[in-house]
Amino acid sequence: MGVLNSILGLIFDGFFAPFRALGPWPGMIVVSLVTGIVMLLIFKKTSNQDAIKRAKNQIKARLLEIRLFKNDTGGSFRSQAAILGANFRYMGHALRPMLVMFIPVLLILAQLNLRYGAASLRPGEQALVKMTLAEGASAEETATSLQSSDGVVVETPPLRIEEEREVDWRIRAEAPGLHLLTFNVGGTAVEKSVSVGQNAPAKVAALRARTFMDLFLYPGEKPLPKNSPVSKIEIVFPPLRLPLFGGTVHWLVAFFVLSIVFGFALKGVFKVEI
Amino acid sequence: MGTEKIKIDSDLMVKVRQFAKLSGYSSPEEFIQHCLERELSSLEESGSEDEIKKKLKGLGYIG
Amino acid sequence: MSYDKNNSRTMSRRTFIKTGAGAAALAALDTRGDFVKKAFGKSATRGKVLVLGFDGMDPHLTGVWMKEGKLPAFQKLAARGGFSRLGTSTPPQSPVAWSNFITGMNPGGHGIFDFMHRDPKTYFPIFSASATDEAAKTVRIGKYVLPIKGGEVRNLRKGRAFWQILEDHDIPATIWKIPGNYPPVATKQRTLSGMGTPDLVGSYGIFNYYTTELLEMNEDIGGGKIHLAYVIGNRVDAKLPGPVNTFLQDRPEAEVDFRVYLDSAAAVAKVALPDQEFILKEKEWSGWKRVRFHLMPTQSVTGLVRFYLKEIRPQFKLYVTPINIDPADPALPISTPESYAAELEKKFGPFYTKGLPADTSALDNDVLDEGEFLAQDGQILEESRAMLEYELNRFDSGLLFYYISSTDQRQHMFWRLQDEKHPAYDAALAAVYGDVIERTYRQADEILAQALSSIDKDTSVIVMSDHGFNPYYRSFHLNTWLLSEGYHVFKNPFKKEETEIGFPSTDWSKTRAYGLGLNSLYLNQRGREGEGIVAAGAETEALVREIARKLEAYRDPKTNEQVVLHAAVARDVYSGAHVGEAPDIILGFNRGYRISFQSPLGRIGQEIIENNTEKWSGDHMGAADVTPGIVLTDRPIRAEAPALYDLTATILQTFGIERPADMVGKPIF
Repeated sequence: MGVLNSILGLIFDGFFAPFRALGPWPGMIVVSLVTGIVMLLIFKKTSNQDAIKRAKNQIKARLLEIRLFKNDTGGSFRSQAAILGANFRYMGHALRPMLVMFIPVLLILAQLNLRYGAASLRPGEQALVKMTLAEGASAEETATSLQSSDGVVVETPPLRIEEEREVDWRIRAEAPGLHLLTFNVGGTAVEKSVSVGQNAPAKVAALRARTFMDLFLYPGEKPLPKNSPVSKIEIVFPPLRLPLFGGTVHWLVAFFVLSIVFGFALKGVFKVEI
Repeated sequence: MGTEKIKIDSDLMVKVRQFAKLSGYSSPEEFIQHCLERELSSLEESGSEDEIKKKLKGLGYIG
Repeated sequence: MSYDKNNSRTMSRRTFIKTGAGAAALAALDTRGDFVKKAFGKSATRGKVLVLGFDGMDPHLTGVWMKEGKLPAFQKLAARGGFSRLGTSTPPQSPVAWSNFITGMNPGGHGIFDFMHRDPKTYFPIFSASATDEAAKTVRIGKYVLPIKGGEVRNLRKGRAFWQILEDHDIPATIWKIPGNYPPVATKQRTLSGMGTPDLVGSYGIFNYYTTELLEMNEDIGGGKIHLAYVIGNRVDAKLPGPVNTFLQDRPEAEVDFRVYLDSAAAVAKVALPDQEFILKEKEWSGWKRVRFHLMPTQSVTGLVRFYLKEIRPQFKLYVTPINIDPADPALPISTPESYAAELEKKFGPFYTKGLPADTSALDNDVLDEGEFLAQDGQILEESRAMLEYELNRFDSGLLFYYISSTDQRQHMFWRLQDEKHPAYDAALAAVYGDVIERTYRQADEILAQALSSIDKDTSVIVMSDHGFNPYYRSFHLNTWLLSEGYHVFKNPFKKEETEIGFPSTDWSKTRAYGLGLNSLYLNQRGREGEGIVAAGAETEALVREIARKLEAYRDPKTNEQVVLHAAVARDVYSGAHVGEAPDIILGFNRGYRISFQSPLGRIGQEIIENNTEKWSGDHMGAADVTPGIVLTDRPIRAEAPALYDLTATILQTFGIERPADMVGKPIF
C-alpha cells in the first residue's frame, strides 16, 4: 500500500503542479474532466456495449408500446414488466464496469481528499495533535514528548488519556511551510508533517497511520513502521470548503457533479453507451 | 369567603402550634393558610414570571 | 458645517453603492432607474460626522485626567473645539439616556423610563426595552409543537431613530452597537444592536460554571448557573444548557453534552464538544467555539461561547461565557441589513454580540476574579477596536456612530478600588487594580487618537457619554421606606422577608404606593392598577407631592445626608405623547446613594438603608444634575447646558435636515 501511495502521490503531484498557484478550482475542474474521460473509457472497455445498447433499445420500444396501446390494460402491464426486466439487464451490464472502477475511484478520492479535504493552518492558528499509541501501551506510563521544527510551536504539555491510549498536544502555526513534528515515544522518534500557509490544492496530510484502511484513505505520508510504538498521529486541520458564488461547497460534491457532467457531455465524442 | 374544615394529624398539629407561635402568627390557622398559599403560588408560578427572572438575570443592577 | 441638501444626497447614494456590502445593499436600496448611472463617478460630498459614544464617561474624572495630561487626544480635541458636561436623562439609566440621544426626545416622547416597567394590572415587572411575542398559532404533531405563524421580537422604544431620519434624506449611516436598539429598528442603514441584545437563552446573560467545589450559592445565581462537576477517571462529563426548545411540548432546555479530559499530572485539559475538541492549559481562555443546539430533526440553532479553564486542581473550575447569538447565522435579529452581522463575522470571525458582554455577574459572584474579568473585557475592547478601524477605513460619507462599553462596566466594578471610603474597598486589591478606571479612560483616549488619526478634515467629531458616574456607598430600600411611612402595607407585617416578585405579600386594599424599577415609584391608582385605591386627579396629585416632599426630606440616619436629591414628578419633567405611561415619581439619588439591589423587583430589606459591600460599587442612578455625561466636539459649543437630545438635533442640523416637530433637542453649535 505504501509503495502504491508513493507512486500515486508522484502522479498526482505532477498532475497538480501546474495548478498550484491558480487556486482550488482549475485543478478540480481538470481532474474532474480527466476522471470523467477515464471512467468513460473504462466503461467502454469493460462493459458489453452491444448488450447495453440492446437493453436500452428494448426499454425505449416498450415505452413506445405503452404510449401507443395505452387503452390495452393487459398489454400495458406486460410492457411494464418487460421494461423492468430490461432495466435489470441494463443494470447487470453496468455492474462489471462499476466494480472495475470502484478501487481506482477510491484511490483518486483519497488523493483528492489529501489536497481538498483540509485547510493548511494559517500562521497564528492553533491545532490539536492527537497521537494514539500501539495496542497494549499505556498513555500514562509511556514517556512522551513533542518537538517541533521552526515555524510551529508546541503550546501545551502532553495530555494523556489512558483509556484511549491517546496523548494530545496543542500546536500553533507561526510561519508558512511544511514543518515537522518529532514525537519522542519511550525513546523512539516518530515524525509527522504539518502544513502551514499553503493554498489548495497543496497537500495537507492530516493523518499518519499504520492500518491498511487508514493508509488507503490517508495517503499523504509514509506509513508508520509495523513495530512503531505509535498506531496513528492526527492533526486536526480546519475543514476546507471550496468558494462558490459567495457560498462554499464541499470538494466531494464539486468533484462528483463535475465528473458526471463531463462524462455525459463527452459520451458522444468517445462513442460510449452508458 | 367561606371556610372549610380539614383533618390534620395531631402530632403534626402540635408542631404547627409551636411554630405558629414562634413565628408570630396570630393563630395556627393563619400559619397553615400561609404555608399552603406559598406552596400553591410556587406551583402556580407563571411562565411569565420565569421569563422575567430569566431576562433580567445578568443585569448587574439588581440582585 | 452645513450641507447643501442635494449635494449630500448624491454623496450618500454614491457611498451606499460603494460601501453597502455590494449586492446586498444594492438590492436593499429602493433604486430608481437612473440612480446607479448617476451615482457612479460623482465626487462624494465632503461632510461627515463621527460620533464616539463612551458609555458612562464622567466629566469630573475626564477633566481631572485631562488636566494631568493623561488624556492627550481628549485634550487636543477639547482645545480645538469644546468640552462640556452633557445633560443626561431623568433617570440617568443607559436605556433611557441612549433613547434620549436616539430620538432627540425625553422619556415622555420615547416611552423608555427605566430598565423595567410594570404591568399595572398584575404589579409584575416587565422589561422596558423589547418584548417577544410567541408564535400566535402553533400545531402539535406528536411530541412537537410547530409554529405556523412566527413569533416576533419588538423594540418598545417609540419615536424615530436619528439614522432613520438621515435615511429619509439619503444620508448613509453606520450605527455600531448603540444601546437601546434591540431589535434594530427597520432601516436600510447599517446597524448592529448593542446593549439590550440578549444571549441565546433570551436573558441579559447567563454564564455557566462547572466546579467540583461545593459553593454556598444557589445553583441559579443572578446571571449564572453553577453546575456541580465530578471528576471521574480524569474526566468530567457536563452539559451546556441552551435555549428553551419551544418545538417540544413541555419546552425543555436544549443541551449540548461535552466532556473534559484532564491530564493526571499536568495542568492541562481537553474539552470535547460534539463536533470539535481543543486543549486548554490552566488559566487559559479558548477562542470562540460554535455550539449547535438541536431542537428537532430539521431545526437547530447555533451560539458562540468561550471557555475559561480557571483551575484543574485541587478543584476543577471551568467557566463558559453566556451563549452569544452567532452573527454568522443569528437566531434573533441583531443587525440591519441582516447581512451586516454576517459581514463582520466573515471579516473578523466570531465576536461578542450580547449587549454589554463584560461578565459583571461572574465577578460579582467570585466566579471570575478581577484579573479574569479584565482579561475578558480586554477581549471585548480589542474586538471593538478592530472593528472600529475597519469602519473608519471605509467611512467616506454620512455618519458613523461607534460605541464602547468598557468605560461603563469597569466603573461599575472597580470604583471600590479607587475610593478608600467605599465599604467594599480592599487595600490589597486596590494596589493592583486601583487604577483600572484611569487605565480605561486612557484606553478611551487611545481610541479617540486612533479615530482622529484616520479621519479627514471634513469630518466633524462628537465624543459623548450617556451619563457620568458616582460612588455607590449606600443602598436605599424604597419599598421598606414606603412600608415605614405607611404608604405600602403588607397582609402580615411579620413576613417581611418573604417578599417576592409581583408583591405577593402586599395588601393592595391599603397600599397607596410601590417601588418598581431602578428609579421608579408608582401610586396604586384606581382604574389604572389592578387593585388601585388612589383616585386619579386631585388625590393622586396631592399624594404624589406629599411622597416626593417626604422622600427629599429623608436623611440617612448614619450620615445625615440627603438620600434622594430630587423626587421628580413625571408631569414636571417629561413631555410628549407617552407621559401618561411614566412612573409617578422618578427618584434622583444623591451622590453615594442608589436603590438597593432588591428593591427594583419589589423586594424589601430589613433596614431602610444599608452599606453596599458588593463589587458593583460605582453607579449612575443619581439625579440628572449630579450624573452628567460628557461631550467633546471639534467646534466650540455655544449651548449653555447641552444635553443628550441636543446632540441629535445637532447631527440633523449638520446635515441640513430640519428637526421633526416632536424633537425637544436644539443644536449645540
